[in-house]
Amino acid sequence: MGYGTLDSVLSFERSNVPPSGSLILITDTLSSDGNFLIHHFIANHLKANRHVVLVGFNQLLSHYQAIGKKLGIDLSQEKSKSLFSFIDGLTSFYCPNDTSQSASSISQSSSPFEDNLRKFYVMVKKVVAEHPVESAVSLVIDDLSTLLFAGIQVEAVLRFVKNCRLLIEKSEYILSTRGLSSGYSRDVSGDITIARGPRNNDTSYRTASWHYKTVDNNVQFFAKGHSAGI
Amino acid sequence: MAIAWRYKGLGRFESGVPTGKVTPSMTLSKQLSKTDAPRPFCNTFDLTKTIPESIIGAASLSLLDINNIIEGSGDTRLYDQILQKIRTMMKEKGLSNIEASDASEQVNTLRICIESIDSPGWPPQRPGEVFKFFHALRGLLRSSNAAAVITMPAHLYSDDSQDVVRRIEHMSDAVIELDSFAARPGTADTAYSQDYHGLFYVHKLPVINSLVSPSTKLSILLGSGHSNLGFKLRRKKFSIETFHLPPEGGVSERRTGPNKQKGTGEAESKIAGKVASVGCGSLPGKTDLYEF
Repeated sequence: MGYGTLDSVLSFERSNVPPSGSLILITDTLSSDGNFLIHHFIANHLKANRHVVLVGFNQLLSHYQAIGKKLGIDLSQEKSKSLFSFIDGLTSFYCPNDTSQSASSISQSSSPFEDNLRKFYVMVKKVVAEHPVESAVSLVIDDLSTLLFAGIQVEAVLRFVKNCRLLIEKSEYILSTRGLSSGYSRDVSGDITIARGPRNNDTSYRTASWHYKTVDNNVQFFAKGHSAGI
Repeated sequence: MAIAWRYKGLGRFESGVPTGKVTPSMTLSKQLSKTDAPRPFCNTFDLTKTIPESIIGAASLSLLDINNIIEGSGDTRLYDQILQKIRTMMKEKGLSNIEASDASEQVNTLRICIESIDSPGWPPQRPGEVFKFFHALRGLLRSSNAAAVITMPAHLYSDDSQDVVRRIEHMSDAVIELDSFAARPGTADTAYSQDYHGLFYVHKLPVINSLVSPSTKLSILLGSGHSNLGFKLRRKKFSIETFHLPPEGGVSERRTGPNKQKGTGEAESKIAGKVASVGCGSLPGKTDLYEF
């Protein structure tokens, strides 16, 4: 299941799952991939019997399955129980059929690509709708920057996010990972800051920063300078 | 470059070069299991040697010439066409995982090499097209038995447009950078530029299906906490070593004062000795698992 030490750091009220209607933003840098945090949330949600829809722009399902196994969740089993759905944004975003189609319409500017996004949204909507209405569905998107980098306007991406209904332009928690400023270390993989987003009214929450260390089947979070290896 | 290394390893088994579409490195591993002799993979790669023509002839190679692609179709969207060509190639040779049915069948690997992508020699494309190409290519690679090595002239991108390179780095599984001293006016004549030709950065390592990059655990070079790597290019070999500053006053002192020649000479031979035993770096006396 998720990373125990991160659970205690985040300390959500109900079974380590963020409150319903909330949005969590994860940012990362090249030297510290924030991808491991996604697995934490997927694992925790499934454990709490909540539905998860994962949109993967960066990886195929097999990647999430392989890591899920290490964390003790079987995604294919959850899928057969229809708790979990996966939308492949990596291979299906550029459909082979599209190339022959758009070859005839070279004159069009960037709009066909944004059309893709619209079509893609319809797909996401369909998949989300397959889950029962009363159950809290968590939508996990990995990762949005791919869309931005691919030349889609920020507005279009925001519209996509907005339309996903769960999400608004401001988030409640912001988790950002960075590489260590002092360079590579064997005992510490990076630095994570957990901040309260603009929409979060929990004034008692203090922004805090931890070090983390990724190992094969877990990630440990600890206060700076308290690594077991130091 | 990557392909050339693999061919070099094959050179020893020249008699056993098979026909058909079996790729050289696959053949190599097959031969190894037969003879049971643990031969280090590409242990010495000699830059002065060329690949024997018979090996090139036996391998299944195809070349996509970007100029021909453009002229042939009149379509200017180059990257889409390259992708389409790779896609059809995968389909023809049955390399796609999705379509693969028989597990016992000999699996081949497609290796894609693209040199200096989006360099001035390439026809100009709309900004963002390169990124889409990388994204789509990643999707292709993930669903097939293929790997791609792509080089990019990142130094041609000015500091303003660095984010172009950065975005592509985000989209790749592994990123390494060679930073030459000769290209930088400030570092061209420094003491360390005598020993190294530039710095070698590992920005990103592949973490496919795992939380930790497997190569971080295996490489002594990276695992020991060194992030300072330098490279040097000699006539016969290219080596990556941990970067050390030379002893103070090193080379320049030897030229000015004959009295001091002995002392610095010793220091130099020490460095040279260390280099010889270390090869591509790592701990003295120990050979790195991935030494080449």
